[in-house]
Amino acid sequence: MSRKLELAAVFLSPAVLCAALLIAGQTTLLAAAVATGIIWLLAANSGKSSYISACFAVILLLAFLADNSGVSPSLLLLSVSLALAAWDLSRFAARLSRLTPPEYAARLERLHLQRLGQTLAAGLAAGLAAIMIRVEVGFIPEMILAVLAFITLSYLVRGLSAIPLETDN
Amino acid sequence: MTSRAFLIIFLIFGLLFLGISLPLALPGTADAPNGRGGSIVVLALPLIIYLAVASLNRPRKIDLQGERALNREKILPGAPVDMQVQIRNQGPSAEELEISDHLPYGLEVTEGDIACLTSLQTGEETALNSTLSGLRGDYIFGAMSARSTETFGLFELNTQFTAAGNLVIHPTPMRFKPMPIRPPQTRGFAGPIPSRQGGAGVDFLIVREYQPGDPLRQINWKISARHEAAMYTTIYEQQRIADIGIILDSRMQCDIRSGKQQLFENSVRAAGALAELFLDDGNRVGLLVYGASMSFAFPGMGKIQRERILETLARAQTGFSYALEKLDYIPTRFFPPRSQIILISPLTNDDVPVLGFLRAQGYAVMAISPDPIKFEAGTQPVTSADEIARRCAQVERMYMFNALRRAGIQVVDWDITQPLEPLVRAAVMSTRRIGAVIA
Repeated sequence: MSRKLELAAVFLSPAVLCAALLIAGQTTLLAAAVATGIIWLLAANSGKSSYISACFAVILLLAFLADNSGVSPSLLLLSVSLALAAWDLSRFAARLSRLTPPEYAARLERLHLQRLGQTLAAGLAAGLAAIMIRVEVGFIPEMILAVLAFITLSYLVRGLSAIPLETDN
Repeated sequence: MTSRAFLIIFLIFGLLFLGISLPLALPGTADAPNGRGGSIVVLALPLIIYLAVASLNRPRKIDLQGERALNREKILPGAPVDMQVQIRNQGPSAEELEISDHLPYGLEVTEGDIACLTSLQTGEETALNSTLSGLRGDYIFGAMSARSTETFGLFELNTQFTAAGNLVIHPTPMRFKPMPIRPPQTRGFAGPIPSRQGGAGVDFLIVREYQPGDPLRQINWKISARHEAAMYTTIYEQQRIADIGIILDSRMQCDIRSGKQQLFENSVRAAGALAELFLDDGNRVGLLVYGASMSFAFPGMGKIQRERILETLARAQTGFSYALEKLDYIPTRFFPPRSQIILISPLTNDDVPVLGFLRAQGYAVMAISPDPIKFEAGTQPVTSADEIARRCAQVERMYMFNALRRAGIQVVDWDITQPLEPLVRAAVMSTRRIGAVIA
């Protein structure tokens, strides 16, 4: 199940991006998106995880470049979300096929797909809300917000990195 | 955190950085149709939420308890043994738990799995079932590792826990038929070994003049009839058990390895076969493994002693020790006086005086020497230069054996491609009966 969803997401993510770029008439980016999509599909079939991660990053980069070229942000958001799903499912499928006995696979798959679906739905909803709700912020407050965001994220990352390893057994 | 988490964080920071810096770097972009910088930040939102969900569900503690069960604890090399490891989660629920068992070196999995990815609720159990086989050895199972992650696999927690177990793989057996050895001294109990003492027995020992008290049925009437003034009695030889000490040489310098083959394994098999042979005959057998350290199976009899010896042999490994580099420190008190000692060793020239010393102390010494030269020649391609070297080494070895024989030591030169039993039997049968003590 997760394998089929992964391939579907791998196909749809560049496809949505391509559609958005086609609408905007960005042929260069369109060609790059098509190439990335093909490479990703091949990598997903052969299970090369480093290529898959690279393709995911490239899709994000293309989305960023497309955003600068006036492409619909909603479609870009959808494409990024699908790319995230495809990247996540590829790694999950790899873990599952490597170690899991069949009797445990269905349970893990159900939990994972449920959690992933909820997360992506929340991400899409938040993104769409952010696109629709527009707030005018001046330069100074924007800078303050940016600095605050960086500091918060830095603390978050530092805090997560410091999680001790459990060795109590 | 895993590398995946770092990738997500890197991408989030990259998008945020671009989203914030772009309006500043390119004046006027903020007024663009999409409000460009802002929408780039929007692209980061699914990633941020993905990271936040993973962080909220990250594993905080692993508490696992493992129990290992083997269907047999003592097997022979190559024989299958079924193993089940039951793992119980005593801590909080684990969304994804990767459990791996670490097998000791020398064992391999022939069927089943020793690792799995599963999810375990609190109090829930899972089992790893596998079939193992391996080489000779004493294997102690211990540590297992577990890696717990949330379902996205961004945050992980590692731990180790114990599932104890022990598997002994005895040496491959060789079966010998009973053979008569002749140690200088036997023990007081009836057994299969002629004791060189007159008494109750079936084998003829000697005829001597009749003495009052001799049973009438032992009078040798034929010889008595030829003599007018005297009568003669047939004396039979008592059969008793003997003390036998087996010394297995596990010094590194006496071992030769070629690929997966090891000369020492043949020595171990020979020691096991001889121990079983002598124990089956009711003798008292002890084992000394002399190498990196000394390990013992103190002299004893019966099935329990057989198990002790086989377990000691299962644990035997070659090794080096400066202190035990030569055989000088063989603890002779370990072996009862004038008992039979069997040394299994490829032998070096330095060992000759030590064996001579043992012989001089009154022990009956037999040296079984697996031939290292033929073993090496049989496992590697031989060039003409090698052939000359091999012949020189063979001559040196023959010279060493001659020196041992002159000291009264039985020597068995064992080409390991040939069966050992006929060689030992020939050495035993050729032993001269040295004197006899009449009771």
